Amino acid sequence: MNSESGKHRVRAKLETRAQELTERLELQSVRSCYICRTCTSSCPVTFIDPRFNPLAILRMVLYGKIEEVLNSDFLWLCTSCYSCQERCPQEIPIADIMTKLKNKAFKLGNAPVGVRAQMDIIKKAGRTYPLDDFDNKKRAKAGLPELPTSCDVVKTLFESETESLK
Amino acid sequence: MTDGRVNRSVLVVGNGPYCFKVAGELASVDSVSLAVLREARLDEMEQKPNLVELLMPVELLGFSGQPGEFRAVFRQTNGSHAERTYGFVVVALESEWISTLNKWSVVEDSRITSLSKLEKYVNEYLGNIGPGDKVVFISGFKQDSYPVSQEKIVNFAAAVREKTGAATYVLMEQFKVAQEGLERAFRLARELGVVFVKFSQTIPEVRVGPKECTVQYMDEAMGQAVNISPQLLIFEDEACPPPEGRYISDLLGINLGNQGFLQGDFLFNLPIYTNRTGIFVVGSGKGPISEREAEREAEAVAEEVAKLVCSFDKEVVGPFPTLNENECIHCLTCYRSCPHKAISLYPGQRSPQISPVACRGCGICVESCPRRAIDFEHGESGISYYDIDKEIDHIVYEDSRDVPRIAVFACVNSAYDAYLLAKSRGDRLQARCSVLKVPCGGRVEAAAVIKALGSGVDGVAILTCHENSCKSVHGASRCRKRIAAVKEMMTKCGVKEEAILFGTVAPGSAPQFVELINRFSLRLQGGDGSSIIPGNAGSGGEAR
Amino acid sequence: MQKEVIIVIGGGITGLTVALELAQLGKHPLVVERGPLLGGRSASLPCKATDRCLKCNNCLVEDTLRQIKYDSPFEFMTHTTISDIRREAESWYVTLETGPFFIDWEKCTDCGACYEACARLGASGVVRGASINQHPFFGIDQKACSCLQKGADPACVKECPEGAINILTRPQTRQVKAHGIVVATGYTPYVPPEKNRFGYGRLPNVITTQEADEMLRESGAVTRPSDGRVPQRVAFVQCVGSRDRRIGREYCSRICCGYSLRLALHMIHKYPDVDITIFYMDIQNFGKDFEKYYSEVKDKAKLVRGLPGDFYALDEGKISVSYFSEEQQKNVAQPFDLVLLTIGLSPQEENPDLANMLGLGINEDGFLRPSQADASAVVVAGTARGPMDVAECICDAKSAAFKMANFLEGS
Repeated sequence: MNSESGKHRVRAKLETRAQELTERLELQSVRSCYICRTCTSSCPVTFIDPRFNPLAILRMVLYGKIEEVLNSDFLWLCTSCYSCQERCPQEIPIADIMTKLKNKAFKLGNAPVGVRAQMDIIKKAGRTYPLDDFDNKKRAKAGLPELPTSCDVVKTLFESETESLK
Repeated sequence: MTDGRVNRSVLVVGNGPYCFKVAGELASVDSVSLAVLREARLDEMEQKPNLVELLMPVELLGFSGQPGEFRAVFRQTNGSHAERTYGFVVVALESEWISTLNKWSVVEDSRITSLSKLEKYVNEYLGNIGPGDKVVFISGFKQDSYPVSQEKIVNFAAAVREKTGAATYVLMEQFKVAQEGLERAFRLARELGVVFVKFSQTIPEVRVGPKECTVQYMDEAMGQAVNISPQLLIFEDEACPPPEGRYISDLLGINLGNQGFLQGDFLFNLPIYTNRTGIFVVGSGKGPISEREAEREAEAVAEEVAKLVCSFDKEVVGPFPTLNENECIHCLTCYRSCPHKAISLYPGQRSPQISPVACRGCGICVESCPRRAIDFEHGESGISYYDIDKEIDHIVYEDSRDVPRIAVFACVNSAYDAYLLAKSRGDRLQARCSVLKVPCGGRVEAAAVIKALGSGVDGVAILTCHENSCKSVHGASRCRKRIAAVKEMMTKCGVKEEAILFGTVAPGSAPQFVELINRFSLRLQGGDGSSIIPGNAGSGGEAR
Repeated sequence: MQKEVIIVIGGGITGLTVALELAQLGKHPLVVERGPLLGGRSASLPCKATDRCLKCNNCLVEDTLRQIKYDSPFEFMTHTTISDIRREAESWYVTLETGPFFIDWEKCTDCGACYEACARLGASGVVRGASINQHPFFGIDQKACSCLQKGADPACVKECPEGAINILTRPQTRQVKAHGIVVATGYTPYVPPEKNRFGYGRLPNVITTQEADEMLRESGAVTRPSDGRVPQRVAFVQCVGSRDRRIGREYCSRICCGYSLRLALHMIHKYPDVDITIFYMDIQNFGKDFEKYYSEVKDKAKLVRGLPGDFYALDEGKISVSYFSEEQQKNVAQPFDLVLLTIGLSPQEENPDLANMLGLGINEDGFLRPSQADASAVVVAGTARGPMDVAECICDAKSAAFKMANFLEGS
């Protein structure tokens, strides 16, 4: 009986690690999925690049293959359009789950180059598209109000966030 | 014919605990006897029904008679014979759940079992299962699965997951949730962490080695192969018809359905009827149903019996065939052709006897009698039946060259209603129709069709119910075959068979009725290139 | 002895079967129907036979209606609602409210003069039954009555040769002392909300199965509403309004899979070239011999596992439907001529009120559940209890009649 329970402990350990991660990232809601495929068939990304398949990602999380997802590049194809989440008949916050996974992957340093470059621009300029005086001249011509060319508040936000990550 | 003393007792025939429940419901209506074909456990019964007689186990050797006077012969285990008379019979046989392990080429052991075995020895099987172990349920693939058995799987899987902490997988073809509360139970099991896998393109592979067994499959939703080595592997059982079903249905003269389940494949048998008046089938013997549904059927059959008892007190109204003993030549054609087994032969009686209770007035016996010894008596009910022959004599047509003249034999259960509906809707028929109401397509004789054709019409249409929704079981199919034979005969005689149409139409289908008639009319006018109406100048058809 | 009246609420197949059974047992049922006709939704089910009957069960309804039409075995009231129910000692005092139209069914001969009069005015206030076995065959839908709206004297009242139609200035009330009540109020078909991804209500060729039913019954074929043409490519979308927690319907409506498979087989039989795709989650078999239809459909139509995503308008009334293709392992968009949304069964809106009045419970899905106490004086039957098909409703009605009769014998 003792060796039996020892075996259980070893096997349980493997399962627990994935479970822990699921719980820490609050992904338990993936369990509700009953495979209706509404998320995938509603996904505009799957149309263009079938490597991104929301249902497949939910299943991978369910099977405890979270690390595989975190190491993947397809995770980053999600555009956060929320079509899947809006339509899920089991009310699974699919797009939120994708964001959580992306955040975790970013922390692990798994974000693709493009995402990191964009991140740097936001950090520096406070925007994904940095503005300069030329842009403001064009805006003035169109009768639009001037916008600040730097956004220091965002910088501060990032600094405090980076602090907390350390 | 009955001698006036009708028996109101009920015989329930069963093979398990369910028949006791049915007997219990019926006992509140009338005196009930129970014949159990196998030894069943009585201790499971909450309340023992109040029975007149319990025969268990018993063999049913013979069966004859009509509602109100069914005679059954039994042989008991001690070899003694018993003969009893009953008013009604309720067949409450249960289906069986058979292990599918052999279909998967695996042998039962401590790790591999069937759902029913798990149910029986749940503690033994789950005793060694703990956290980190894997348990796999397999549902479907090799057999049909039903909500009743999947409910068990869902509940077991949830219990295994919750109580042992084992990783639990359920591999299934379809998730059958068509039962109250099952969708919710399914979700609760998932939320506990049970992994459900659905298959539509592939099937899982099971390998059993001396040390471990493995289940390999493709998770189609994930698009990845999965390999599990479960400590416990459970297969769903297959629902099989009651083994006694075939024998009992032959003996009682009731039709058997698909795959040997009870109740013939006829619409009007639903929900609990058979082709015989006074004999009912309830419960899972007709196919797996939930306990609640089975309970509902037990109550419904009690209602049916109570109603029939009431009807015995009333005078029989409505069309009822009578047999002219002087004409009868005892060929027994009527006895063989009656779909409701309402015609009996009694020793000492000169001619077959027609039971007024069992007869449903289809007129198939009238049609089949070579001596025309059987005729309908007009009843008092709202629907009266015509003597087809006389009616045909009365078909008088005005001369019209515009549209064909068609005589329509319309079954009162379907086509006649469709005709009336079309008429009340003001639908336009491209033909001048004389519609003859017939009690069933099976009533229409070949001679009547030919006679109608000879009465000066351009075409004769015989419109009946669809096969297997015919109230007289084989009335529509008999009619179809007969019309085909008439057509063949006509062709051999050199007469165009296109002047005859056989069609099926439902009572509410006015558009189909109109379409059938109009297409037939077009055919008669040579719309399809061959006019058969003499003198019709539509298209160079042959004039005779 | 005084007549022991049993009020049967609802004149659909369940209520009528209960009443018929009770009448045959010598009891006195009174059917109360709020609509203009008897027969309910099941009376207008269209036949879906191929060259064989596929057991859509409509003929069972016709058979019941036929018996009632010819034997008139019980009393009934149409255009009637229940305004109050009181319990006193062993009896129920039920206040019935009829109006504004009151039709004397003993006078009515189903001649149709009212229908013609209404049609001449271009209105659709007088409705016609779907089955010839419905008596009354004509009734008045007061919401659609143009005369009442204009404040004019209804033409149907004037035209009725029997003087059977009356218009009441005030609803007529009648109090009935009842010994038992049977609730057979049925279900409501699910209607997709205004904003739905299927394009229902926006794209003319996206219709519900209920609309397809009406079309099939009325004209004999399911055609495209936009141009009346027979569709070449048809999509069925299962589970619309069922198995969906988002809209509070966490249950399977049970009858829809069988419905779609039958309709698909019927359409293929009628138009062998039609190309049918059924989008589904799980095929639900229930009912006898169902598995047979499933395997036949598998041969003759395309079954796609998974619900589709987007529905866009294309030229010529076509609809683009996107779904995940298992073979291609990617999302594809396919054009269809007609999309049929297989809608589920919803509980009646009035269920909570009714439950309150009669001391009944409501189950988790919103359907009625008999209360434990005093169960036998009030019986619930048919789809008021939950989704079921016609054959099951008939069985349930018989069991309800049995319970009610037992209760009356006992009391």
